[in-house]
Amino acid sequence: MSYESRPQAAPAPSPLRHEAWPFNSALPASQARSGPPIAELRDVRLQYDQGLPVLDGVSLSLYPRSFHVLTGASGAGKSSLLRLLYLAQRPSAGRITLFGEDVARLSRNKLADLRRKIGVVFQDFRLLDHLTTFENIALPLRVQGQKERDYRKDVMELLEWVSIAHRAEAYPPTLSGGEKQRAAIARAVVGKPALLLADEPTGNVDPEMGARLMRLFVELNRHVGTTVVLATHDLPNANALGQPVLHLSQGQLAYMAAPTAPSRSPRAEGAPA
Amino acid sequence: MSRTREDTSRFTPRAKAPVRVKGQDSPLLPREDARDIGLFLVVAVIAFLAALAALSARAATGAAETWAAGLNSEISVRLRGTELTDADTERARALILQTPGVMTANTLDRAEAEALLSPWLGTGGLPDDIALPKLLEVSVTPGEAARIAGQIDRVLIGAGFNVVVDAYGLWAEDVRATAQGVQAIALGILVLLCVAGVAVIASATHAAMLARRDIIEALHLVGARDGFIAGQFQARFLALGLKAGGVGALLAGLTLSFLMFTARRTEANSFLLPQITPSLLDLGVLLLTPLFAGMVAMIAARIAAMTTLKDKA
Repeated sequence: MSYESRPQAAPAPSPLRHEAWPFNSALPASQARSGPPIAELRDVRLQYDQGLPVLDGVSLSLYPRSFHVLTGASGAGKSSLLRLLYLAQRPSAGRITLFGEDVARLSRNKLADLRRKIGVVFQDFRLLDHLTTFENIALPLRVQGQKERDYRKDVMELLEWVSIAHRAEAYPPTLSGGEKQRAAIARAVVGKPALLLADEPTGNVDPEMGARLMRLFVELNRHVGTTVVLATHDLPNANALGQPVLHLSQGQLAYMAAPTAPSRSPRAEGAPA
Repeated sequence: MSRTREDTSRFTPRAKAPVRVKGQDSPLLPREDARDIGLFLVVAVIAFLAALAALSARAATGAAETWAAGLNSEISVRLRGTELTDADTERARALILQTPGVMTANTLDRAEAEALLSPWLGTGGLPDDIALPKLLEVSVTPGEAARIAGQIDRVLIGAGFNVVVDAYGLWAEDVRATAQGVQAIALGILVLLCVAGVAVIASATHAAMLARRDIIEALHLVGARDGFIAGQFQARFLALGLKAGGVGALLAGLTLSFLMFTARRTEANSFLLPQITPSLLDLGVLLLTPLFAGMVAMIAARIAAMTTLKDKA
């Protein structure tokens, strides 16, 4: 298994109109400061029926404000690992702790509350076709019981931030791939999540847009302090980020050094400190 | 061709998107589709039948009360004997009128007696040599017919008459028993229709949740609790139940009106049928039907949605 380190590419043009995070405040101080890991996996195994385990003995700690790039071939278990992290699935064995809570012991309502601290971006966007772009982005706030009059300004600023404010009243099927993905990213961050998980977020956009979106994730991490895990097989763009890489192969997790040393290194179990 | 541009000409979002009112949140579930129209018709028919069953139960109760009230205030007295004169009959009538609780006592003449027998013997009249018993119709204090009939019987026998006094007690009991039977059957049908309605809505909720997996998944991902998601389906089926129940109640009201109209047209022969008269209770049944349908649909959808969400956990 090899990992080719490449020189960092020249910064792609930012898709952002504003360099600063549009909201008045970034993450709550309790979430933004360094401290105990916000997510921990211990000897996690995931197996369907009697088949080979998709994940086997995976241990991982994600610290606040860190940025991980998760790589691996198709079927290596990247999406499965992310599904475990955003609580869409329970592991066959092992323990998962999120924000200090052992998820196996939590009620369904508590799990839903934990999901509000996690933003997820998918390759296929998963926007709801019958809601406008604005409504899709506001969805996390709406399920928390907030009213449009309370969040309208914030959501519009976020739309500006990802440069699709002019598409606020458009329906997803009328958006381009890049617009959809930016809407999906805006939806993932509108609730100011402490953890952002992105599953192949550049898979359905052209390379140029892919590079711009990657840069957007980095800016989220730097400006807002959101912990980011970005699963991708787009190695050139991943390398260009200069972030530490976690590599999945045959259900096993390996840590690899970043092409350029990150200032806040994530740490996988067994990885060099 | 760039992947960032897609052919959007085939999509007409407004065709299935909910109507968005400015300042109000759009429904999180898409507007109803063809499946919902079929379900709407089924629920409307169930509501219609349920309203009819409830109206039938009320009509049976009302008819039984009307019949029993009539029977409880009337007594017939038959004087036996072929040698009885009009003076004997008048003497018996006077004795009857002296009995406490008796309000009126009328002797039926031969023509009136023949009219009573006409449904069985025809209207051609009876030969004069056929003797008819002397009949007296007595009206008494309502509810006292049985007691007063006993007193009349004793008084007339004491005066030397051979009499048959009938207070229709057996008839009244039969009417009551029949009315209670009709009522029980109607309520049974009502319960069965409710069960059918619950089953239909639960099944439809389950199907709707399967069809809207994408929405449920998206809601779960953004931190929606099960109660919030179930609430979306619950609200949808509450609205469907209210609307379909309204249509069912309207149809039941039209049916009731038609029956009343028909009954009035055939009033000449209606002495064997219960009187169908509109009442506030009927109106109450019709007004409650949509509310009841909406409530049953809402509860069934809630339970089905919560169960489905937990089963998929």
